[in-house]
Amino acid sequence: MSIPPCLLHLRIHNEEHNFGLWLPLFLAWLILAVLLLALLPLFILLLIIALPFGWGEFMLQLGPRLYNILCALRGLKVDVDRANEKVEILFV
Amino acid sequence: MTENQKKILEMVADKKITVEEAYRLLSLIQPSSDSSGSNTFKELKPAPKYLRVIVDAEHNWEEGRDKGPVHINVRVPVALIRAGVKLASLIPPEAYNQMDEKLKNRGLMFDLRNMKPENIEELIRSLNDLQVDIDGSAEKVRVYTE
Repeated sequence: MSIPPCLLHLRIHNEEHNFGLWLPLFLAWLILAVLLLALLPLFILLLIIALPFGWGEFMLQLGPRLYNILCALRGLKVDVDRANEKVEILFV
Repeated sequence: MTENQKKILEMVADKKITVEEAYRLLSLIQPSSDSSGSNTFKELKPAPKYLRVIVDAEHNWEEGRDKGPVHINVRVPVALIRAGVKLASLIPPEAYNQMDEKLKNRGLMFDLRNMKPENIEELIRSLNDLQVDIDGSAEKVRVYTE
């Protein structure tokens, strides 16, 4: 089973700053999971309302597909290098 | 011909096994023992994992000022493209029409409805041979898979 990226490595290097940060994304996912769990009854209610209008399948598939997008972020790397600035973003 | 293949054919000649059994055995040993290089199993390249986009520009204009050369290197996981196409298949038809119109206004004759999740694996595999090199006077763009 694939899981979303656990860490985000952010590195900024310019004339004023030079630092690297490891941001714990897994904490954000945990908070998000709790929030989604709390909103689950509301989602089920909306699903029941949306089903007769043909939006049921869309609502059911949206969640898993967004989760797939999150999981696929693992390995994404953006590196911008200018004259005196360097920014690196990496999802691990 | 390998030793294993010879042995199987000898067993058929000695009538120790039937032709069907020999065929089954040969098909089982074929992928691992054939070292001729013409095997179709070896010709299949593994699917690419990342799409790399590299942009090198000599000038970076911001607020009317040239901030010098800029180098951008983006590594996009192919899984993200796959997931994006699957998410795009959820877009309602009305939204597709609007997107098509906007794309046509910008001169892009590209119908997003033709991009279906069932075709994505073939598309990703064909990305293996993709390499785009744009060499402008002040910018260079390179797109390839790895």
